[in-house]
Amino acid sequence: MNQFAQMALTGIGVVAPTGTTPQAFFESLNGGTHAPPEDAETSRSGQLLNELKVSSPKLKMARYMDPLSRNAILATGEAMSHAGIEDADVAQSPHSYGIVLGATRGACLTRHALYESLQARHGKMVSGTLFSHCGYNIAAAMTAIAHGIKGPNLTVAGRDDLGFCILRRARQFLVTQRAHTVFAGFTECDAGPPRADVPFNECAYVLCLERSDRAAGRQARVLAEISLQDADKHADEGGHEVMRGWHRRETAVAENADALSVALSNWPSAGGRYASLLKIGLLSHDAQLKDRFPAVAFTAGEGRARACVKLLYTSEEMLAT
Amino acid sequence: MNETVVTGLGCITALGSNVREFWAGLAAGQTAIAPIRGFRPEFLRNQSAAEIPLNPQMTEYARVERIHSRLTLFAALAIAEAISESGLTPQDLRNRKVGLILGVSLGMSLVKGGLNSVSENANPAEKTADDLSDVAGDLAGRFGVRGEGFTVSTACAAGANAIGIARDMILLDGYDTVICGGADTVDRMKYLGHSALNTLSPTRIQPFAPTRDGTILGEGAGILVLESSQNLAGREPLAVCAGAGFSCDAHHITAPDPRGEGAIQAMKDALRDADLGPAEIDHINLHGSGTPQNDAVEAHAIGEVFGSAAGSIPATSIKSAIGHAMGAAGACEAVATVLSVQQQTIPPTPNTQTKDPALPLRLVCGCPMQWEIEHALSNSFGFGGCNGALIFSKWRQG
Repeated sequence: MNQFAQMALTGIGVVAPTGTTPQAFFESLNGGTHAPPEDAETSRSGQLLNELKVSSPKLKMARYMDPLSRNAILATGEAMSHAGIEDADVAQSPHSYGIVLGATRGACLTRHALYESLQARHGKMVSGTLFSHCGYNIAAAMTAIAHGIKGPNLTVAGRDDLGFCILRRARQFLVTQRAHTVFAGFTECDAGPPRADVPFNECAYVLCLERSDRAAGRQARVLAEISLQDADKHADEGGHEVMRGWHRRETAVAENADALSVALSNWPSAGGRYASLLKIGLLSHDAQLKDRFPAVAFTAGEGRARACVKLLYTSEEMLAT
Repeated sequence: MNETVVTGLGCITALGSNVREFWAGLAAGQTAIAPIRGFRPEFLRNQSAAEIPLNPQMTEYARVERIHSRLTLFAALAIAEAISESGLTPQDLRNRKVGLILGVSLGMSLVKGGLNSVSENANPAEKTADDLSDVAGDLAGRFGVRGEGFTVSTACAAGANAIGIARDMILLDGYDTVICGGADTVDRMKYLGHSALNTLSPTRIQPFAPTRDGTILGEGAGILVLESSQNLAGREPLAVCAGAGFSCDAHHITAPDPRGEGAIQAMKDALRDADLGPAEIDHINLHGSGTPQNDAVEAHAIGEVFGSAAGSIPATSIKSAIGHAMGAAGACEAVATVLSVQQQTIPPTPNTQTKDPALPLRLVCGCPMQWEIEHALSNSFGFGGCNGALIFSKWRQG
């Protein structure tokens, strides 16, 4: 059922040490420079927005916010703006917009501050404000409050292809008509040493995914249409069968296509946990690929959850017709 | 027709270490809330909780299975019970498309990992068990689940949201089986936090009572095995997981939207998903946390969805029996709702003698109620404004 139900990617928002433009972020990943810069100023967790000198009135809505939340609010705002969605559009039908974010360690810096508040109060009390910002869902919740998004709101964590898990959940909400637009991505802000499985120690990355009919209806600029197809659930190798079928129809297979080999060569270290979401952003951003192929595909997920993801490059004229 | 059915239940709470003890305690109107024994109760707004004392069988299970986390132990015990009841074999789990989703709120992110780790760390720099990424994956590995294994964290709606997602995975993603639910643990840091927020009752939890003044925390795990009805092969399911609803208040981090807009939306979404009208709901398992604001908003939202019928649908809150189990709450309540549908019995709300007359609800108090239940609704609302609603229906062949 709905194996081929399509989503339209209409916007990308990023907050990373490379700045807030997707182009710089993807160039950095392509060049393998995703590790935190040497500059000590930019490697302190939680200070990213100060260092980027980025601000927004939406960040002033609460007297305290974990960096995880601040970055997610901004990245979602960037994705909205990239997709041409205004605050007024959301206000018109707030329950039709949803959020799915990955956050594996949650608000580490706030939890640390909570412990410090306990110590400062001689083990008798903690700060209620800090405690209320400790939850793993704090970034998704604060993003919902900041942008008035009242549809499904999920925070997920997992060790395999979490990016693909997030993509599947977004699709669930679109297919079941619980939402027509889902902001799907991740926000991580780690106080510890750099991790190989996330692109930067402090980073938020959000895709604006819409039901294709919704995107067409509002004549949105579509970066790519995304379809998912389960691999044969009775064989671990099933994904290759699906991919071969797609390849015959002139789909570039991401793992093999020459044009992608450079782009993907650094991905084993940069992709990791959020590989599928990052690949979608990267591939839909690559003008050279779009010139050469009508579509590009890659396999995602693990074990029995393995599936194939296809990005079909379309123009708004195609969608409108 | 492909339906999502419940074939197994597992539950560990302060009322007991399995579903039978859980249901017996609920039906008897018992409360498992008692003076705190696991951690220092000084400086807390309330010194009672619904803790689970680890018995020798549990610690032996943990030793044999090499489980070193209280959170994982509760979840694993409930999963093992649910799988056993479902009749699924290890081979089924290996060969079918099976997923595992666990709802967790704060889990053990404020304390060290460990079976008995319920006290605050000695200093701020000490590491806590804060990485949620491995929890569900680890459990999936232990039970031979080879599909997706992930954690959902939507505060106190996490257990309900995990079950809602599992339903969609069966209907949309071709899953044969999804093991789903929630788990959470109680510790001193959470008690300090809720003391600071004044969400804990200074007296005792009395959901929907005129004198209600807050909640009391509990811990445990509730697990459901959901399967596609096409895979039953003669097995009789316990109930149908007929619908799920999701929403967000987008209002405040800890306070509910006073208009109950998000709660209303979640219930309506679940009804739409189940293709049912409000008049078809026979029972509501309430979120019923016992805080003045939450209970008032939930009652108002039910009034908005069900109209004048709200006062005639028998409803209950089990939080005064097992405490507010946070990430596990929605899942334990889902287990109770399935049992209510199966047993045609609604357990009473402990501690509440009479409900607040200002609230348009028919709260079951005192003793259990025998009631014809075709469809039942279970509500869960969490910090951050995350909401979930589930509908379970009586199984009817064909």
